[in-house]
Amino acid sequence: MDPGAALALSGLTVLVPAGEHRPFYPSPGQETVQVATFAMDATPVTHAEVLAFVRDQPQWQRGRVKRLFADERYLSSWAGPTDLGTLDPLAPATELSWHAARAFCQAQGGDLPTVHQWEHAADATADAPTGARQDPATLSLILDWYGRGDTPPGPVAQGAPNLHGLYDTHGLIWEWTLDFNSLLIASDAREGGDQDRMRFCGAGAISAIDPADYASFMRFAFRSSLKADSTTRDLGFRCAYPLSP
Amino acid sequence: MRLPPLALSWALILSGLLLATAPACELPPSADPAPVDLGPLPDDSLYQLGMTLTDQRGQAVDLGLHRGHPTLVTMFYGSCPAACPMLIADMKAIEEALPPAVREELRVVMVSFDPEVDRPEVLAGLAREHGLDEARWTLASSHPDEVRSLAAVLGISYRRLDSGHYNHSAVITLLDSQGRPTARIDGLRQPASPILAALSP
Repeated sequence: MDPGAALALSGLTVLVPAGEHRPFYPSPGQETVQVATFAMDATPVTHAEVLAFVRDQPQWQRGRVKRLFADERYLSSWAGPTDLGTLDPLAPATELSWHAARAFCQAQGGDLPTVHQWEHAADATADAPTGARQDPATLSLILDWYGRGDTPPGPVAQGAPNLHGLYDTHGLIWEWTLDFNSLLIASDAREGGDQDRMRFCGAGAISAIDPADYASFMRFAFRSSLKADSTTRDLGFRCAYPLSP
Repeated sequence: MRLPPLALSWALILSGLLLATAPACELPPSADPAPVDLGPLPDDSLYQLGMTLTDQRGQAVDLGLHRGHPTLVTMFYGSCPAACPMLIADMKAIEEALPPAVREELRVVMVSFDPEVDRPEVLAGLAREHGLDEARWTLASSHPDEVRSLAAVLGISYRRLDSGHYNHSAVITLLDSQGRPTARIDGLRQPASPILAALSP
């Protein structure tokens, strides 16, 4: 373990260059989307950063947050409303709802990344801007993580960064996205179908480009299982920032 | 809540106007001729969003403008060709299944995903076209950021397509008089029984 790396890298922002992204669930008739250049936190947001945030904005402390904005597990592993207890300050902050994660990012002048931004950024391998979805090493990292069970996540930035300088995009935690509710998939079906015509307006449910891409499928299934007040021990976030005009 | 209907609607109009400029969570000042004491806003009320809408009259109103009444909330977009008229029809069917006294108390708020197209005059046209009782139905748009938050708390999935259409789940949520979700229907042409049961006296 290298706490120095976590300390040096958390809070750092990197540039994610523009690129053409092939969504796992493309819109009908639209195989690719153009993602503009944006900035993103190099690591997931840490407990230490969230602690500073809730000291500054007490309405987001456990016990003060409105029930509409967070379920009852919100920051429940903390020893107190402003006390991390035995939690590693440099481990990724989890047990935060979408509302709380957004409020954190907005306080830093950003917001949560969109699904397209996140997937585009995280598709980079160590040496290429795309390909993580097909990369066996990435997949095995993710599968190891699925098998990790209840172990709390360790500090951020312990592995190697991807091409953009992003750490922990795979294999440490799940991450919130701004439009986590943009995906209209029925239950756990991997393909769209007529049975959903009565659930959705505008178009039917959508089909994945590569149903064999298990890791992407799990990410999208997980996102679509979330509600805005959901908090879990392995769901954290990082922020995205528009480039100054 | 037990006021003559005329006084009540006057109170609502006033509180709607005042809420538009007052900070969220604060009750309107006592200019209200007959204030109805609803107590503090519950923590799990959707009205905690403090969301500002622009209604079919072009007025800025708070999402909680009908606080004090059970309210059906749904999200839609006006240019939707087929499914969204069905959504309106579903809500009218709920109303028609209610005893008149319960229906009188019910309010309906429909929030558009599409503030660019669904301007007040478009929403007013929709209300007329569908013969909606505008004393009880509010059709509104809002800022995209607030639309996103409302969809998130209602558990509505949506995304904008390149065609300008929106792909979205059809969800009708019943809020109690304090804005807390108490029943929902997921999908078009589904049985209305969860909402009818929650509204039955």
